[in-house]
Amino acid sequence: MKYIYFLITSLLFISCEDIINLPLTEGQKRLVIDANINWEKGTLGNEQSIRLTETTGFYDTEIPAVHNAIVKITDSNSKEFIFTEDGNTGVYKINSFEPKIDETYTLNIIHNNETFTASETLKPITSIIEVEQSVQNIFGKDVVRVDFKFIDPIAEENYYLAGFSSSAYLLNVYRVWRDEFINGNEDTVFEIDEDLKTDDTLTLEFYGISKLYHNYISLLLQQTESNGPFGTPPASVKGNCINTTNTKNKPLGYFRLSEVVKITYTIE
Amino acid sequence: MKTKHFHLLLLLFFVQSTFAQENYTLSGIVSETSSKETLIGVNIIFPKLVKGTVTNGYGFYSITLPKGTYTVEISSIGYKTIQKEIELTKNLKVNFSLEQQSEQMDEVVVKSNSNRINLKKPEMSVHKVSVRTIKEMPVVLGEVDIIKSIQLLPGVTSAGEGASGFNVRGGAEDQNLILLDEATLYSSSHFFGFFSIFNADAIKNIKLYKGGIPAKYGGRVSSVLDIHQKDGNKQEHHFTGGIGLISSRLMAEGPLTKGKSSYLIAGRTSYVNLFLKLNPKTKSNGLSFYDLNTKLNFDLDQNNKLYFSGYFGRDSFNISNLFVNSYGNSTFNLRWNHLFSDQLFSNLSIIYSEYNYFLNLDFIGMDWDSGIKNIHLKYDFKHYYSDNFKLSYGLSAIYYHFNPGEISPNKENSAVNADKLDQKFAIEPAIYIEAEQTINDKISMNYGLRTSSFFRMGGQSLFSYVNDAPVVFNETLDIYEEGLTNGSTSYAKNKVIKNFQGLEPRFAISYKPNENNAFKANYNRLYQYIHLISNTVSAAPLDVWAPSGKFIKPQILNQYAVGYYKNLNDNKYSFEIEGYYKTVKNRLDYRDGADLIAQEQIETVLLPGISRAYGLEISLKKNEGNFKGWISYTLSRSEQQIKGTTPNSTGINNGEWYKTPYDKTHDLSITASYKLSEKWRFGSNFIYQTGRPATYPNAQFTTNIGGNYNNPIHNITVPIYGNRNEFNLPVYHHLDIAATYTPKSNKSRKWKGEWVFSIYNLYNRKNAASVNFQQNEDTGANQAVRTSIFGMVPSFTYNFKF
Repeated sequence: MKYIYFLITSLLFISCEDIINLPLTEGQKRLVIDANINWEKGTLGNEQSIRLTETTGFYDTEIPAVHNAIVKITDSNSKEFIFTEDGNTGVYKINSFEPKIDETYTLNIIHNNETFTASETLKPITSIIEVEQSVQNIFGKDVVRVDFKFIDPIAEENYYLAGFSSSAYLLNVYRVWRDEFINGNEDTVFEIDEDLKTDDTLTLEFYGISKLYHNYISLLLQQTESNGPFGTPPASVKGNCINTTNTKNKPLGYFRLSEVVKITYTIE
Repeated sequence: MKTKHFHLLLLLFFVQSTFAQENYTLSGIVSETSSKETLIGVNIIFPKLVKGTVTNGYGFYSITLPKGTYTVEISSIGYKTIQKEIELTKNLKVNFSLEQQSEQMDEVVVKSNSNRINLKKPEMSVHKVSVRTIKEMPVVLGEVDIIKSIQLLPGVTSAGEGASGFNVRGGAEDQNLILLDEATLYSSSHFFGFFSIFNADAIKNIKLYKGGIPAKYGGRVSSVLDIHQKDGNKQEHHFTGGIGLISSRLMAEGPLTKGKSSYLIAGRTSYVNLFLKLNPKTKSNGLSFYDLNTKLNFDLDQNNKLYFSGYFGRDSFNISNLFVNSYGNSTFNLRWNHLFSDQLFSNLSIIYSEYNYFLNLDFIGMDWDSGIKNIHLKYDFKHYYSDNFKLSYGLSAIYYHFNPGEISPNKENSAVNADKLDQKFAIEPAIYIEAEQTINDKISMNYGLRTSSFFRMGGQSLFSYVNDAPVVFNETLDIYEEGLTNGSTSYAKNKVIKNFQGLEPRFAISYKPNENNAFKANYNRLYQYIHLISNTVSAAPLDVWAPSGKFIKPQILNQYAVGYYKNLNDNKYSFEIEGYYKTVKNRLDYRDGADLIAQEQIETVLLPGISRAYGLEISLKKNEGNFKGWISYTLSRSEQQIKGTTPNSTGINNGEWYKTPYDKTHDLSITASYKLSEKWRFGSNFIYQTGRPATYPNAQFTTNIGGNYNNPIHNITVPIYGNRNEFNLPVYHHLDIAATYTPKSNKSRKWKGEWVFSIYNLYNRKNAASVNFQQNEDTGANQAVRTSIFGMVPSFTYNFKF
């Protein structure tokens, strides 16, 4: 349904956008836990990373890394997976992780004498059964469209996240949806972009996610998108991590575990 | 005086005037000379007595006076005032005919005494807008727009360019009752607020109530925009129209039986479509809007008139047949005016109105349909007892059918399953009575009561929730979530799920210490039972209306206003200052990230709270001369508060007051028109407003979904927002000018034409419609991006009549 707003906004061909210099005040610094455990289908999924950073002023170009934290994940059988910082990057890594579908994991971080935790389940993803390229005419222009087809499992409530990256453009594009209208059917996640030309690569990363993460990432992506006349009021994005030492100092970020399908397609 | 005390005691009962003398009634219809179009709001004044009355929505007036000979003056803005001698020795029926004030400079203008009478009436917080004035105002793309014009009045604004709807005294867009010939319209603009749905050629009268709403109106708490269409020329056939840059219009009117019945049909359409169709590349794309206004009117006899009105309007988009969108209002109504006597006027209306929204998304393979339908019966009476006392009473009943959304697959291999959200039904009956009473030379009062009810009917199932909480607060995660359901109840079609009752007192008083000054005050209480579910900055066409019921309570408003009014220099200038304060209970807001589209369980996203607005409106008008205009300034605040429902829940913005999206601290409008000669007239507007409230980020954080930390390009940087609506967008201002050129018309030729040239936003200011915070597509750095819509836009329109 988000497509509607995208198309309506593009109709405002009489509007113009320009960058302005708008001074902003700076708020309090908070810990950001970026824990994305991605298990690519067909691999062992043993190499994983978690990044810890701090919030900073909106226009700052450097993101402050958080060092010397203790980071570990525990599964439902109390097996521990310890992450260690890679040099001075603020990225904590492991190469002995054991991902399992539908397993519940708990993340535990100790930093500055405060303990932060989060709990989530590793969600599976269905395979992409076909990739199809076609041409769409939009307001007189012929634009490349690539469809990645899959079948939604009928038995459960499924939530999806898709990320597109390409040699044709700089920033990734994300889509988030659930199987509300398509349960059990064959469906497609597609990308249309006027910059896609022959020989460009288009990579799809297709994630299985939980309902809570679906709500989180939808809200997060809304904060990053252009709002136009139908902008919803901006909101603070609250993740699933909590501070057990001092509940008022809640960290940002989300602890997510997903099975992932990754496909790279070259435009013909 | 005994009679005076008697009147005061029997506030809501029928009053029989027991004067010693014989009283007779003078009544009739006032119409325009050449077309016999009935005229609304015409003043019928007895200058020597300083008494008078006004024609109602159907051109009818009635006044009862002691036997005698009187000079009566009939006047209305835009028409030549006339005076007549009347010998009132028995009940008389006298119809008056007014001529339009022509453009000739040397014409002698008879001054009317209407201003002295108007100061005396308790009516305040009201504006009567002249269609002629609106047509001469400079507007975007030359499209005459009633909704944009009322925003030049104090207390009326919109959330900005690209915002459909309008806001009155800090009220929301869904709190305006928009009536076209007594039928309710659910949206007031085309194409996201850019263009009007009202074809100004077909409109006779526009009245906006910002407060002091008479008991005959109910259902929306902030305002009533009461618009009447013309009936159609009863004498001759005419065509009126115009050709503009974006749209053109044509109206045909004339008699069916000369002097007794008439028709009117007016159409207006945009033609961006035609240009798109011409180019084979853009052939399968379309963009258009159109309106059709129709009216039939029959004078059956002296005491009976019948009207049939219809309106049909639509916006239509088609992008390569991938995305087809069509939405708009339709209304049909039948009205019967009946005079039970010279003193008792009645109008019975039977109305059908509908707003629907259709969307076809071919690339998903889905059709979406949603809307609201209603059937409305209204029976209004006005009893003109005497020159000092009038009584209005009546009843109204509305039956609603809400379609929150119906999804169907529209092709063979569509991935979409058919689904229909539960249809909702409701009945809203009301009765009212209101008295208009002149106590003495200095004091007049209007007082009344409206009793409204709302029955939310069955024909659907509703969920029940654990702890009766459809929205719960997750203290660990610090967010609101949907509550858990623990069952559902099915309600039969004729069963009442929930009912509400409201008592809505209305009161207004005016005190006129001397000829040119008046103090007025009013109070009203209103209930609103249906709500527009929308969490966007301004209403979007897709937003659905929801009825009150098990989970949503009616909005209840209390509004107080006081004002001071002065005529200067024999009404050459008028000055008004008015302050208001209003509170609304059960105003809805939404939990963060709420997805409202196709939301079956709307109760799981709603957070109810309260809202309040207060302000000071000042205006100074120059009413006469070749140079006319007004300056209006409003200083106001409009805010909301949503507190947490449980001890540890935060509510919205931590339970503190926050500005609504349509709050506007300063709103200044200056409108001027200048008549240079018979051929040239100029108009200009200057608008200066505080920017719309906005929520700005005060930090950022970064996330990388793929975990590709080696490749910073894949980082998403996310703005972290501070308090809701704490800041304001940059100041909004623009200056517009227009020139109207009327070539000298050959009197013998029927054709009359004029050219209107206008420039909107003369100095090309980039007014921010919104500011977004995002990453630069080329560098990835964070930036603030302003979206502005209209720069300098010149245009012209050619209007004609024959």
